[in-house]
Amino acid sequence: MTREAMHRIDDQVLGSLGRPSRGYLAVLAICAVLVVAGAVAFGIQYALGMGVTGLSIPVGWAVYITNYVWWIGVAMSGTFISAMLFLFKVNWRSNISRVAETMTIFAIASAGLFPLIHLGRVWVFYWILPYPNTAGLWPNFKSPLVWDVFAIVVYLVLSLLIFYLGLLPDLATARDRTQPSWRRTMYAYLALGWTGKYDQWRHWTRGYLLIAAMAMPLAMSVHSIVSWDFAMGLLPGWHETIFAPYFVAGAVLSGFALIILLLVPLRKALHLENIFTVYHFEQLAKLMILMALILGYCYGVMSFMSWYSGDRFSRQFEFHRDFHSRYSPLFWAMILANFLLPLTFFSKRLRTNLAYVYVIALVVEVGLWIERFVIIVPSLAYGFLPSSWGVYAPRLPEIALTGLSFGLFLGLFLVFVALFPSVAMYELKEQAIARTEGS
Amino acid sequence: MLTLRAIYDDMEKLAAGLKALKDSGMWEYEAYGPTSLENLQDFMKGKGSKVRILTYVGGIAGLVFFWYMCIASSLVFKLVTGGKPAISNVSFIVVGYQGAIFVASIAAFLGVLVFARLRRKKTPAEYDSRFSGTDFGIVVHIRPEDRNRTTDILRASGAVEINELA
Repeated sequence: MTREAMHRIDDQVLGSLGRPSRGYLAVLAICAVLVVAGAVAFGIQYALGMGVTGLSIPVGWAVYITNYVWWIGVAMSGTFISAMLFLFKVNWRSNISRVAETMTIFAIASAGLFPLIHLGRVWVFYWILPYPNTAGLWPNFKSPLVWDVFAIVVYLVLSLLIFYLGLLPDLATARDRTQPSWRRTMYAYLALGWTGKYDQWRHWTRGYLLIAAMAMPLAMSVHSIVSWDFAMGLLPGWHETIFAPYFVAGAVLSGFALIILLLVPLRKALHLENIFTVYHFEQLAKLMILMALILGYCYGVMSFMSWYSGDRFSRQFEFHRDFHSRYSPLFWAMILANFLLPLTFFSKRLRTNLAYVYVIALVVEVGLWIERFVIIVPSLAYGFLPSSWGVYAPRLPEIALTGLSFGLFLGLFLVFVALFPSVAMYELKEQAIARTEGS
Repeated sequence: MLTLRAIYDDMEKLAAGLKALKDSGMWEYEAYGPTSLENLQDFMKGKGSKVRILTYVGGIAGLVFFWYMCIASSLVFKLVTGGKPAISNVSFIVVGYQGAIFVASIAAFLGVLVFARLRRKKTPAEYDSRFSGTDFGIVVHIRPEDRNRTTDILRASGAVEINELA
C-alpha cells in the first residue's frame, strides 16, 4: 500500500518533467520578450542617463525602489514560509515547500536588479562592497543601505543552500528514474552521489534543520532592514517605528498570495491536482486572513500615531496623502486589496473556490505593490515645504524594466519546473509512510 | 569479507532487520532508504552529527570577523556620520548578525557535504537504485562463515530480496 503510494508520487512528479507543451513555450516566449524589452530600456537608460525616467527632484525614489521592496517581500516570504512551517512541523508544508523556496531564489534575482538599475552609475556598484582597495575606500557600515547589501547577499546564499539541500534526495530519485540522457548526467552531477544511506540522512537532517532555524530570524531581519531604509529617514510617512513588523507582515502576505498564483496554473498544467489540493489553498487562504489582520492593524496604528504624536507635519501629511492628494485613490485601493478583501476568506465557501482564491491573490499582489508605492512616493512628493512639492509619473523605461523583472522571474520558474521536481517527493513519501503507520 | 544486500519494501521491516542484526552482535551494516532514516538511530552506530558544532563555530567566526571588519574599516576614516561616532557598535550589530548567519549557514552546508561524503557523480557498487524510489535496504559486511546465519536473519525480518555482492 505504502509502496504503491510512493511509486505513484515518483511517477506523477517525475512524469511532469516531460516535453514542454505549446502553452508552456508560448508563456516562456512572452517572458523572453519582456526580458529583451527591459534590456533594451536599460540600455537606453545606461547610455542617456536617469533623465529618461520619470525620476526628478523631489521624487528620487519611485517605481524601481517600489519593485525592489515588493520583490524582496516575495523573496523574504518564500524561505520564511517553508522554514517556519518546517520548524512547526506543519504536514501540508511538504506539498508547497519546493515552490516557496524556488520562488524565493528567483524573486531575489529580480529584486537584486533594481538597486543596480536605480544606481544610475551602475558600473561602480561594487563600491558598496567591503573589500580592501588602494583608495582605502570602505562602505559606511552605519547606513541601512549598506546593511541591505549584506542582508540580501546573506539571504540569497542561505536560500540557495536550503533549496539545494532540500533538492538533493529528489535529484537522486530523478537520476535513478531517468533514461540515459543529458538530463540524467545533470541530475547525477547535482545529486553529488546521494544514496540515501543512514549517515547521509543523519547529517543532512541536522544541516537542514539548522539552516531552516537560521532562515527564520534572517528572513525577519532582511525585510526589517529594508524597512529601515525608510524608517531611518526623517520624512513624514517614513519615520515610523512600526515599519519593521509592518513590512514583514506585508511580505508574508505577498508570499502566500504569490504561492497561490503560481500553484493554481501549475497544478493544472502538470496534472498535479491530487498533490496541490483545495485543502492546501484553503490553508494558505486562512494564513492570508491572519496576515491581512496584522497588516490592517499596522495601517490603523500608523494613522493613529500620526494624530496622537502631535507632530504637525506627520498629521498634515497623512491627512493630505489619504484624502486630498493624487495618491489618495491608491491609498484606499491598498486598504481594500490588502485588508478588506482577504477577510472574505472567513467564508469557507469562498476560500475553497479556487477561482475566487486566485483572483483575490492577484488583487492582493497588486495591492501590495501599490502599498509600497504609496509608502515611497508621496513622502518625497509632499515634503515639508509646499513650494518644493512635485509629482511623479513613471515613463516607459520604468514600465519596461518592471516587465523585465516579471519576465525574468516567471521565465526562470518555468525553466525550473520543466527540469526539476516541483514537489519535495521525499517528504510526500514520509507522509505516505506516516499515514500507513497511523491507520 | 563478504557483502550482502537485503531489499525491504517497508520501513518497519527494515527496522526489524536492523534490530535483529544488532541483537546478533553484528555492527558492520548500513541502512538505505528514500526517506529520512533518523528515527532508526537506536539500531545504528552513528548518532547525532558534527554539523552542529561546525555551524556553531561558523556562527561565532562570522560574528567576530564581520564585526571586526566594521570596527577596523571605520578606524581608517574615523568619520562622524549621522551624528554617530566612528565606532558605533549598535549599528555594527546588524552587519555582525548577518555575518554570523552567513558563515554559519555555509559551514552547515559544507558540514553536510563533508560528513555525508557527498562529492561524487557515481554511486557505490552496493547501492541499488530502488533505494531512492520505493524500497529500503541493508548492506551488511560479514565473514564468509556467517553467510547463512545472516541470510536467515535478514529473511526472517522480512527482506524481499537478498543479493550477494563481490
